[in-house]
Amino acid sequence: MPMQNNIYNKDEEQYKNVIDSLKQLPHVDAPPDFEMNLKRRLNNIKYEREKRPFWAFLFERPLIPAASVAALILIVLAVSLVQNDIEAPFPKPDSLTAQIEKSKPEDSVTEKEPVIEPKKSENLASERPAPRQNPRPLRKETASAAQESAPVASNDILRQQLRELDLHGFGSDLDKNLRARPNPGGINEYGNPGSNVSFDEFRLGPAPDRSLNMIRSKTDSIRRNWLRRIK
Amino acid sequence: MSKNLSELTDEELIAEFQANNTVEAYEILVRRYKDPLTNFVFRFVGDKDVSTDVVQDTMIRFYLHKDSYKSFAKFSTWIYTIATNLAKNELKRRKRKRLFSIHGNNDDEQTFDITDSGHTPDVLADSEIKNRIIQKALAKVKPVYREVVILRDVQDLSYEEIAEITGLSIGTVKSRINRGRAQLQKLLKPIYKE
Repeated sequence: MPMQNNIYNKDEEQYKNVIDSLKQLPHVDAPPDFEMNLKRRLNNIKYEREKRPFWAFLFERPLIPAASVAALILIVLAVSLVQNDIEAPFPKPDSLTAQIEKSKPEDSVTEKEPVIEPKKSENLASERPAPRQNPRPLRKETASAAQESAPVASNDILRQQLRELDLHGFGSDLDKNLRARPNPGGINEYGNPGSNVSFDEFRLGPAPDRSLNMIRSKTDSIRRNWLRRIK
Repeated sequence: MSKNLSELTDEELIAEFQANNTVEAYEILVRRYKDPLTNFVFRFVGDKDVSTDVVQDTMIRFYLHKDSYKSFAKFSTWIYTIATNLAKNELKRRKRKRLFSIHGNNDDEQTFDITDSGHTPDVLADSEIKNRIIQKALAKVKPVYREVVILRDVQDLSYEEIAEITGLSIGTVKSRINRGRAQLQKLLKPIYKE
């Protein structure tokens, strides 16, 4: 260690004149108003911090990502609200059933038959929806909710009717009964003459009408059987 | 209370400022360090106004970030580190400015305020010229060498303190000081020949 000190002392001796020159340089002091200016600057900083506007706080560096995400969410919400304002081209399921009720044709049961019916079948007849006036839906429509909910609603109705139906020992295989008894009018659900069983392409919404026809024919057969039994 | 505070060491004062936010303790530290820091920054940057601004910035940073000081370090090295970094930033900023400036480097703008040492006008003029030449030579030394030479030969700091301020090893500090001195000697050769 003392050897090291000697080495560095030697170094310092080598640059003695430089060191002396630097040491002799006059000291430069801070100006007399240094502290006053410092206080003023500190007060300004404190004041700026207190009086920071809201937007400055919002767009402060750590809050920029949060603010941009919030803005994005607002934009998405606005766009989705605008899209929801577009009128659905198809009526909603409730209004659809009401329309069906309105446009319901005369009962498919022959008028000649007596009108003695059980109360449950009356209820069924009132609930029975009529075939749609314009069964071919537009393919390029966007409001799929109305289209998709219609078959669901009619299936619900069918299930409810099946539950309410008292078949009195005539069996519950409706499909079998339907297959055994084709539509007497020979007109399919689109109003076209021909077979009752037809492939209707992949159209939107044929299912409810078909099921309604099935219910209709089924109730007719039940009614007839019931009448025969009474007799 | 004020008398008691002024008797405290730097480390005790900053501890007081950190714990109780005692502005008086801060003011005492400012009074103690404003002159040595101004002298160091002036010798490093070469401009009085700029050095005053840099030292004020240093004091503001000290005020705002007082909690970043850890008690295991010496206060003087901590405040010198802040001042050194700000002075280096100022040099870089000036260098960039000079790069994009039309007028380029203008060394004649440097101003010197030399305190009255009671010498005769001849001696004063002579020493003033000499000081100006030394300052110009100092400005020509590489900043990495200049920094340590000023800290050692102008501010009289120990090698350990310089190593702490610069974040270098003591060996690196010593070699840089010697290189800086060698550069200065080469630049000041005409003066020493006289």
